[in-house]
Amino acid sequence: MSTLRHRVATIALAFLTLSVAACGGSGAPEGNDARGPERTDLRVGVLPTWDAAAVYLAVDRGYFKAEGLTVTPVVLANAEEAVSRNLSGAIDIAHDGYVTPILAASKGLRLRIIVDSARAKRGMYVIVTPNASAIHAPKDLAGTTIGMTNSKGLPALLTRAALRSSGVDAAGVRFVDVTYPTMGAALQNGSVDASFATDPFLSRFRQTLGARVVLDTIGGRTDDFPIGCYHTTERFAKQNPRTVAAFQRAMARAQQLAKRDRHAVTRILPSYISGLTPQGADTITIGEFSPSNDKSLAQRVADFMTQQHVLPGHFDVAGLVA
Amino acid sequence: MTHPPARKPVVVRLSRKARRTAGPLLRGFAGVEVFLLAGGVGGRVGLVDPSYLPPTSTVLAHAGRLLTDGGFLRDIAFTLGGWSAGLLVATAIAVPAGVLFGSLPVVDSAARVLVEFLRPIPAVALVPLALLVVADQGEMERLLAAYAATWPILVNTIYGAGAVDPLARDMARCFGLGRAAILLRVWLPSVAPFVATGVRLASSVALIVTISTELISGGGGDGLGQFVFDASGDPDGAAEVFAAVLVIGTLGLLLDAGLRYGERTAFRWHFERLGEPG
Amino acid sequence: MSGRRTTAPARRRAGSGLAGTALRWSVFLVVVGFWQLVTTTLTPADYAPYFPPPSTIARTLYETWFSGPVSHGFLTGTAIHDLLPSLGRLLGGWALAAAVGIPAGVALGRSRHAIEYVRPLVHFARSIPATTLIPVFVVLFRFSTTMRVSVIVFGVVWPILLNAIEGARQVEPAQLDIARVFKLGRQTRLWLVVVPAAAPRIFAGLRISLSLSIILMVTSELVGATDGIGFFLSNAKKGFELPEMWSAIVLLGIVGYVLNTALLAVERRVLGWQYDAEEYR
Repeated sequence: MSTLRHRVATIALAFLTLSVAACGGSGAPEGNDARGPERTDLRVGVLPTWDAAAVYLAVDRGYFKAEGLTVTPVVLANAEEAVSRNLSGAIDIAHDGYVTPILAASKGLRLRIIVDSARAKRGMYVIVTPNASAIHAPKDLAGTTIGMTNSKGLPALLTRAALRSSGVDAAGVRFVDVTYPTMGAALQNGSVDASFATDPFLSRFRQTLGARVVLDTIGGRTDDFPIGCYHTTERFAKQNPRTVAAFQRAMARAQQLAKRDRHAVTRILPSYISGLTPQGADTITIGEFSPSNDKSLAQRVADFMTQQHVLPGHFDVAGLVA
Repeated sequence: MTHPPARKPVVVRLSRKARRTAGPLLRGFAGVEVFLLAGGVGGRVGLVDPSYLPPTSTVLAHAGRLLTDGGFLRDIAFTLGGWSAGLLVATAIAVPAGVLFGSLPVVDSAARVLVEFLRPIPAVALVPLALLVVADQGEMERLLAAYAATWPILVNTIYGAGAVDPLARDMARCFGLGRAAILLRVWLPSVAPFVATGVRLASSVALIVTISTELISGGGGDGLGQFVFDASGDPDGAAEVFAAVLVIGTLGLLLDAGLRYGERTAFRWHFERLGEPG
Repeated sequence: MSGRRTTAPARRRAGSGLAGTALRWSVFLVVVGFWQLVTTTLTPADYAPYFPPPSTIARTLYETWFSGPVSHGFLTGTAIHDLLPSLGRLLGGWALAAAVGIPAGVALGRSRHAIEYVRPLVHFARSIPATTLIPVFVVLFRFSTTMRVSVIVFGVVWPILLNAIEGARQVEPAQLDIARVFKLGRQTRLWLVVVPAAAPRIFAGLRISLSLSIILMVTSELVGATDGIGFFLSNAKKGFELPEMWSAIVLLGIVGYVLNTALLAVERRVLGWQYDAEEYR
């Protein structure tokens, strides 16, 4: 007898719970209702560059919270790590350049770019030589060795394009992979003749080596070049469309703020770029934050890569961009 | 005494054991001192730019300061955590495998092929792959440290398993001991000292791989390798980097000495049999 | 020491001959077969390109490294450009470390006090990861072959040194006494008694440092390089050319295996009278 009552009670309770859940979605916004983001806890990987400041601003100003998201930023070492960790699920969304995810996608790795981060400005990505060097004009770079962090990535692409527009034979110039910590020593003792540099290392090289700029890689065809984006895996994007949309909205607000208020950006940089002081942060060249998502940017970068034979042929980014 | 003593001489009676350890210890210190002094000279004499190779005194000063810094000590703890976990996992895998291979000569020579193929592959090359399979940085460095540490332990265990005295084994069988008992009472005690040696040798490999993985994984994590990465980004950080390297080397030295002491004490009977001086 | 020798012949017999060789390689093939199965069925689609099946890797290995003309020994342009320089640096560094480590080790091994001066220093130095020291070597030697060979030598000299010391230390006193009775001079004693006695241990040290040399060679080629297997590996990784990256990894294994086998063969010739290919460190 008690068993029967027990069973009836269980069924009734189950029915009640289901109806409440079914009704919960309609109308008023609630805590974790069925129309909110599927995932509320996100790990976002960032590279320690200035344009990632938008993520930290969004956390700081509560933009993510307003969308029902709790975001934990994680600093990464380099672009390949951003892709690897994204694919393994350690990072839900990764901040990265454009070149790496496009390259990865062209090799069959299924990523989805969801937010456009920023564009480069003049004076941001330059080729420098130490003070004592005999290299003064772009022409002098012919036949030299240039050090950069990624001789297959954006630095190489920009440098090659800039060399060509200056009339220098890019094929005769050697690019070698050097990490920034070793770059200073390499410049000083002549292991490399010149180096691709960006802030904060650019300012440091200026200070410690009296480095001077020989060539600006941003200009002409590379003016306003898209240099940052946020991507996730195709699977994540398909399974969590509302989460992605919420992230995009919060980031749009943050990037609009960053675009208006440069001071807010420089103030937040030392919190995730190790070794950067507030004074140092003020000297960093900051480019243009993208206020809205422009999907044509990825294609621009892809075509640029095709031109330089980094991609074997034309690559259509339609599958890559949300 | 042929002359009157100016003051009472203080006689310190060291125990025989203390005297035996004091000598090597002091001489060891002397050796390291000479090395450090030599390094210091290079910087001062102007052989190299001192901002890249700072003098020894600066490095020692930095090292002293670091060892009192809570954050740095936490980094040491994190690295040691990865090291010990990696070593443990490697032992757990390598010892059973080594005993198996060593006791069955046929399997051993077959497995040797595999071992000799896998040994030269650097953990560094596997980092991009490990990044995919493993989410957390701590887990990844433990995985790679275990991978690298497995080889010395495996190889030494195989050697040890092959060196089990067949006479002892036959005697045990004569006494009617079952397989499990033979394993426990004949094999394991024989193999144990060799395993201990293997673990000691694997220890330095595990430490190196742990720190290298931290270095390669770049910003934001914990550990000594992380510390070196951060410090090397700073142009004034050369002294910090060297100070950290000094700490790393000393750590390796202490771990090795500790394991060696444990090995000698626990398996004194083994080393006495081999006739090795203590 | 003599108690161990009784088992070595048994092992040798089991491993030698055609049957032994077939068995050895069959285990290897079983593992590869298993690997093929796992990569074609179990890898999550998200990162499947990172784990190509062995069949793809083998084909890429052939195409990238070994599909060249007969006149070049089947080596491709890539192999000539990257494999040969790496091999040169690797063997050069290893040989240099041996040339320094063996004499120093044997000399030190004869003096108990000398060992004690040097041992902590050796253990200190060998605990330092090469990656932390590469900037130092770059400052000293720039991006040159010297720098890469120095990294290898610095990392690899310690196992050789340690094993040479241990080998020289463990010469049986009886043999030395006999030599003294025969009034053999120091030099003669050294070459006739000490070196042969230390030889097995020295060879063990050489074998260990060989695989270590390969690892350090790759590490040193990750920075500022324009050729080498490490350079190729790093490039392939950055360009997401994953089968090529795997082909470089497998190539490293092959190089290590071949060199180790060659060294074992040499060891067997030299130590024929004392064959006991055990591993020490």
